[in-house]
Amino acid sequence: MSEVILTRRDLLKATAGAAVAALTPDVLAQERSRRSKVVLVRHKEVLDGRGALNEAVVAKLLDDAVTALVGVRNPVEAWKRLVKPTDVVGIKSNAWQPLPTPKEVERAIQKRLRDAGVPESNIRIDDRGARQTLASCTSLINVRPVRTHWWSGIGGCIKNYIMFTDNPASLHPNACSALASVWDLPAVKGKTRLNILLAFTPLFHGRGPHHWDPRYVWQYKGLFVSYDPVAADAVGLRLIQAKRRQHFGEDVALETPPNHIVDAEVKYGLGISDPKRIDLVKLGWRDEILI
Amino acid sequence: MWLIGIGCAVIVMAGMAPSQNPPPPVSPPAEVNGWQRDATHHTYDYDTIFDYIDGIGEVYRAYNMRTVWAFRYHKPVEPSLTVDIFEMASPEDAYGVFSFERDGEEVRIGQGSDYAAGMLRFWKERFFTVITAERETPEVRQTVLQLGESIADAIPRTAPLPRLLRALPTEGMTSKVPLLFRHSMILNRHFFLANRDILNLSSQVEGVLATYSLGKARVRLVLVQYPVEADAAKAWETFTTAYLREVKRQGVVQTQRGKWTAAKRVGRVLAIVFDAPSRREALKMLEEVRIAREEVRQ
Repeated sequence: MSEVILTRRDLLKATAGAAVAALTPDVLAQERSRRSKVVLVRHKEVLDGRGALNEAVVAKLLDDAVTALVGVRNPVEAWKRLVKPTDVVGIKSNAWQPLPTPKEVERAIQKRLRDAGVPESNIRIDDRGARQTLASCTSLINVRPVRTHWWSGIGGCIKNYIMFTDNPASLHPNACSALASVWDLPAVKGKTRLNILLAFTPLFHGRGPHHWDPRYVWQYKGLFVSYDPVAADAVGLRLIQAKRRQHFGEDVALETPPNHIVDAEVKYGLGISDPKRIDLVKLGWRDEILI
Repeated sequence: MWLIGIGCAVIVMAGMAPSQNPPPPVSPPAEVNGWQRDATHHTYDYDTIFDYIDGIGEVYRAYNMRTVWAFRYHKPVEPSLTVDIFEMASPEDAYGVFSFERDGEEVRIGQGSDYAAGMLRFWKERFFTVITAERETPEVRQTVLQLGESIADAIPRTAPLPRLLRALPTEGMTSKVPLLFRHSMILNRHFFLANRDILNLSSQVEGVLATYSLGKARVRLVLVQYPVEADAAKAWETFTTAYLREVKRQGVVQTQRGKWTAAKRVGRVLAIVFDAPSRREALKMLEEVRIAREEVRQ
C-alpha cells in the first residue's frame, strides 16, 4: 500500500484534528487498560553553585526514586527486586560529550548493584561499544540524560539503545520512528530492569553540528525512573516542551517531531506514551517543577 | 597554509569511504591566545559522520558532505574549543549548509558568517567551518573569531554565490540568507511542503527558498533547478498532481485560508509561490522571477 501524500495544502484545508488524524495511527484502537508509573525526584542541592554534582545527593536521589518505583523502603531490597546476584548486568550509559551520563550516577548504580549481590566482575558499563560489550548481559540498566535531539526530537531512554544496532543510521528515516525496534533485538529484548532518565541539566534546544548550546541548558536538578522507557521518555518530552514554552514564551516546535515515542507504543508495543495513562509520582524539591 | 587541492577531494566521493585519512585542507594555528591545538585531529567522511555528530549528520549528507576534519583546542581553566572544517562537494553545498541554520550576527568572516554564544559558522568556497566553545566568555569570543579569521584566510579562493539566488526577486524579500536545499527533509524543516518528496529532489537538484513580506502576508518563493529539462518536466508533473491537483493545468489555486499558490515551469526550473494574499500577487511574483537563459536549458 502506498503512503498517503499529505501536503501543506491539506494541512491548511483540514481542521487540525483531521490533519493530525491523518498522520497519527489510531491510538484509540490500542488497548487502554495498561498504565505505567514514572517517578520524578528532585533535590535543590544535587548541583552546587559551579554546576558540579554532589555525589551523595545523587545517590540519595537514585535511592528515593528506585524505592518509590519498586514500592519498598529499603533501597538495597529494591535493587534486589530488579537484579539477581547471578545476573551479568550491563549499564547502558551515554557518552555524548557535551552532556554524558555523569560518572557520579554510574558509580551510584554500580554500588547498588553490588549491594544487591551482583559481583563487581559481572557489572559492565558502556555506550558506543554496547553491541559488543553488553550483548551477553542478562540484565540491563538504561541510563542517560534527557535532551533535545535534532533528528529524533528528543534523546531519551528509547533512543539510548540505538548502539545495540550495527547500523544506527538505518534507523534515521522518518524522524527515527522505528527506534523502538531496537528493543526487539536479542541483545536487548526483555533484559531491561530499570530506565533512568536524567534531568539534572537538560538541553531544551540545540544549535550547530553538535546540537549544543549552553544557553539552552538549565538546572532542573531531577531524574526520572520507570520500568517503561516509553513512559519515561513521554514525561521527559513534557518537561522539555514545558521548558521551551517557558523560555520562548510560546510553543516552539521541536526541530523534529518526536514521533518515535508514540510509535514505540503503537507500532512496537514497548510501553505507554499517552500521558493520561502514565502515573507520575513527584518527590522532593518542587520549585519550577514545570510538569 | 593551504595543503591540498581539488585532486584529493575528488577521491572522497559522497557515499564512499576515503581511501586514506586525508590531510586537512588548512592547518589551523597551533596556538591562539593560549589555547593549544591537540596534536592529533579526527577525520570523518560521508559514511562515518554519525560516529562524530549523531543524527544531525543527515543534514551534512543532504548537502553532499565529503569530509570533516575535527580539531580540539584547550587552555587550562578555560572552555575547550572544537573546530570542524567540512569539505562539501561544491560551493553551492557549502552555502547551502550555512543557509540551513542561522541565528547569530554576521561577523564578516569567509563569504558569510554567523556568530552567537561561542559558536561561529562560516562558509568559503566549498568549505563550511564551525567553531564551537563549551561556553562563551569575552576572551572565548575573541579567540573564536580570531581562529575563524585565520582559517578563512588560509582558504585561498572564494566562489560566486549560487546562481539560482540571482533569480529571486529582491523586492520585499526578508530572507537575508535564502535557504538552499537538495532534500525535502531540509525544505520541510524551514517550510513544510509535504510528508513526501513531491519535487523529485536529489543531490543533483538545487532548490532555494526565500521569504517575502507583502503587506501583512508572509509569502514564500521556491525555485528548483534540475540537471536537465526532462527532469524538470517530470517534477512538474509530480508536484502539480500532488499539490495543485484539480487545477494543475491552470497552475494557480486558492487554499482554504484565502492564500494563493501559483507555479510555473521555465525550462529546467520550477518556480512556486506559496501563501500569496491574492491571485494577482501570486502571479506577479512568478513573473518577477528572473530565470537567466542559461538556467532554462542544459
